[in-house]
Amino acid sequence: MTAQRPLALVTGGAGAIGSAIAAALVRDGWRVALADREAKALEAVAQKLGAINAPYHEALDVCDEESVRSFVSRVADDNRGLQGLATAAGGGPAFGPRALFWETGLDDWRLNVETHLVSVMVTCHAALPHLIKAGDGVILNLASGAGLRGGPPMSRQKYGEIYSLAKAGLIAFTQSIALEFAPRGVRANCIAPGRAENGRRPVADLTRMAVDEERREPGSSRMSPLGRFGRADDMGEAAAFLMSTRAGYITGSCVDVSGGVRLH
Amino acid sequence: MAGGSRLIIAGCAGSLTDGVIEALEARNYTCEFVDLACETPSVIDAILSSGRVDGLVNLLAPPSNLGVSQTDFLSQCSRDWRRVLDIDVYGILDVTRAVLAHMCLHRSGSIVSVTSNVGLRGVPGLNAYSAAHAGIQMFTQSMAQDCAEHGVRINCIIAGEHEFPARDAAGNYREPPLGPGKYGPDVGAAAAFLLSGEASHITGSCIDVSGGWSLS
Repeated sequence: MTAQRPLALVTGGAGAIGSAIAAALVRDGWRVALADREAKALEAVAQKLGAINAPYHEALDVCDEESVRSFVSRVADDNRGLQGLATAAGGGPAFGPRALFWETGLDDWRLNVETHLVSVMVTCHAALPHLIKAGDGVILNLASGAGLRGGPPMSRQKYGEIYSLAKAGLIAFTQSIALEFAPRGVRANCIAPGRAENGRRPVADLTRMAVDEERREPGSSRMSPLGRFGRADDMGEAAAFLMSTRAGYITGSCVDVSGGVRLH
Repeated sequence: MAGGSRLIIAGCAGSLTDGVIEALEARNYTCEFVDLACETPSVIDAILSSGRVDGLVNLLAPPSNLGVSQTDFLSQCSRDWRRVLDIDVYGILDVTRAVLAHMCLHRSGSIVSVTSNVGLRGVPGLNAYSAAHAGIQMFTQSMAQDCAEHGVRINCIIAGEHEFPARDAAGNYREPPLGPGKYGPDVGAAAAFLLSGEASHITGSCIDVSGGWSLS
């Protein structure tokens, strides 16, 4: 009899980055439990990975604390353990309106911070007792270059104040739990994508946008020094590495996966 | 901006607030205090409509004002985190929004937010508090870019965490390399500099007045 493969819960698992993380984890020998608000897309991702690799999935909103807690405990109980957590939910309408900060209000701020920070705290809080029990549990939170640099994903883009706030908060939160739970065997890290493809914008669209922007405002192109935008797979690889035993001595770090954008 | 200018000081009652106001008043600034623990919008509106405001100093509330103690993350609940965010994030943002709109109208102004060094590196047991302070530090960098063209500067100060100071692995209190500082007066002096005309080409930056605490 072979030992059961470890299980990782992935939120935002139907999104471009979340599903890429799930796929990379499965390739590395994990099984995944997927949560996402988009039921149809979630079904498709679960089907593609197969029931053996993705034995659990549930359509839920990460801002609904009860749903998150009950999914985590249902999965951990049924599987008799949970070894990994990757949080990749966010973006979309939670990013907020394209408006100057002083034209926005409390409801916009709350939606953004609840989605990108508080929901992750809730998910980690629910998963941590199981990850501690696993002995070598691991957490991977999806931060953003916005949380490292201010303004997503580079200085010329506007209207990113609250998203930057939430993602910087997420990085500090991850450091705080990395330190706190290191003695109990849990590692916690972040990855910070730069401008990368997402469900609404594939790389081709991003490239077209950059060409348009460059025409309107010469010198404004946000292409990375590596000459392209981020692919979801780039994030999946970085996440899977940090969650693997190869990264067994890495905790509390935030890996910049922006193609070097931070350098210019 | 120089002495004689009118400032709003947003924070909670306590030694930091007292020290900062004293340091700024000693430099001839007129300070109007807004208590973040109370309902603020009407107070802010009244101050803004009674005349030009040149500067805003945000003092993020220390843990004791938030009812926060340093406890195991697993013993906390989401209500605890939201209490921190309500004052140190949404309270600060609310005041900043009102004052920014006023400053942009006058095409000048300077904002300084005073945060704790827990935001530079998250601290166990102060999880939401660390996140809130890191958030406001990054908000400052991001906001600086959007309000520069409106003539408004925004910066932040990192003060040492006085209520839960850094400790070594054995739990012993670690003194900052420069020794114990004067907290309120030290922060007030840095705020006065960032508000002044001498800092007219400084925006989106962060001055660390923790006595070197953040380095270790």
